[in-house]
Amino acid sequence: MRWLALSDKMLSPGAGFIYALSLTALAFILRSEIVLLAMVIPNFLLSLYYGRKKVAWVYVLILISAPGIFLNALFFSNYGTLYTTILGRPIYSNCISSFLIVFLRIAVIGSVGAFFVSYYTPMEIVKGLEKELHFPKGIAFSVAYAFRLMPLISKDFGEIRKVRKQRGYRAFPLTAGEFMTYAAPLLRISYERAFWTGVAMELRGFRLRGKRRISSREQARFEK
Amino acid sequence: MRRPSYTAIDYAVLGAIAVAFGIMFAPWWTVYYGLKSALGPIPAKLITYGLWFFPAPLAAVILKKPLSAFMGETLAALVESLIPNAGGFTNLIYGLAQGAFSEIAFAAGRYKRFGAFISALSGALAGIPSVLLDAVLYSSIYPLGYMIYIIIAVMASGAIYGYLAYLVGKVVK
Repeated sequence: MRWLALSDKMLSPGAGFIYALSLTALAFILRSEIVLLAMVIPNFLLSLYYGRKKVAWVYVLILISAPGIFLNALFFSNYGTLYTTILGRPIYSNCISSFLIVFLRIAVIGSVGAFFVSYYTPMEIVKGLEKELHFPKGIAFSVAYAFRLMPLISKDFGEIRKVRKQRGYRAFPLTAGEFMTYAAPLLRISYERAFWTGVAMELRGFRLRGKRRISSREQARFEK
Repeated sequence: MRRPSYTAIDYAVLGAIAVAFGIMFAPWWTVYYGLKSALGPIPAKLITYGLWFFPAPLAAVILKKPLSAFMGETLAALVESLIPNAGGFTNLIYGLAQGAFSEIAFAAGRYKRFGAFISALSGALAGIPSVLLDAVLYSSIYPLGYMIYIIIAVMASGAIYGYLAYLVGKVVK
């Protein structure tokens, strides 16, 4: 039976989670441009293959950050041998290498994250966290509940915006007060919803829920 | 320290906080980069960084249980990691560290004080690992004087948002 399988992907969600987390941690320590580039390319291609529009803006954001990273390198790491001059300002080798390292680190982090979220659905990830990585059931429940709340919060947000429009106010919040007219009702509704969901879960024996064990014979029977 | 006993209600509330802030965090990157380009790193950090520390004091003020600040911050960071954004899994690493430092403030109050001062302190403490991780990852190591300004700006931002988290926590509960 299909529903018994965690995922039909080549890489299980748990393994994918460890892969993404490991590469992100590696990006913190690696200082070789070639190695960082070698990490970016496959993840970039895979994320675009699986995610396309979903992850494209991640790369736009990374490109937007590039001038800021370059300016940072120019002001604080501009030393070494002379490389070139831009607008009469000398650019030294260390400025270029600092820029490349930080930019590629951000690209590794962005591309790995983009690949992970485009390859797996949120529910596959939550199941993977609990069943493969043995996260506590409460944490897995919180994450699953968070993803379930997303469309509801989006709907609530739309309703508040509609009410604001009908009353002649700006649709999008610009000041702190306007921000609170969105944040306060959204948080209150979410809290109320979470409270009563929690009560319902407790009444259904959430605390007593153990790990589901299926014998190999049962597994074989389901898979027929 | 009391043994933390979490019910399904607590986990659901943590989930609600995680999704609300996970959604807010993802576009917040754009706000941060925009402000950094327009105003420079210190004002950008002062205005934006505190929001990333918000879930820790908020969760603690609402739940009033040991480890609630840590879990609130970590879960929001986990949800943010699972939404496509430029930070990817660094969000989770930052979230773990910030949550642990925020928790120190409530642990110092022996989990009996969840007032405005402790919440602001919790937000301010979360700024420390944030600056340290920035230094490692983004090579944001500046001359000492400038570095001190950055630490002050990030901790002040954390304190302001920590205080706001206390106010929001009171309103929500």
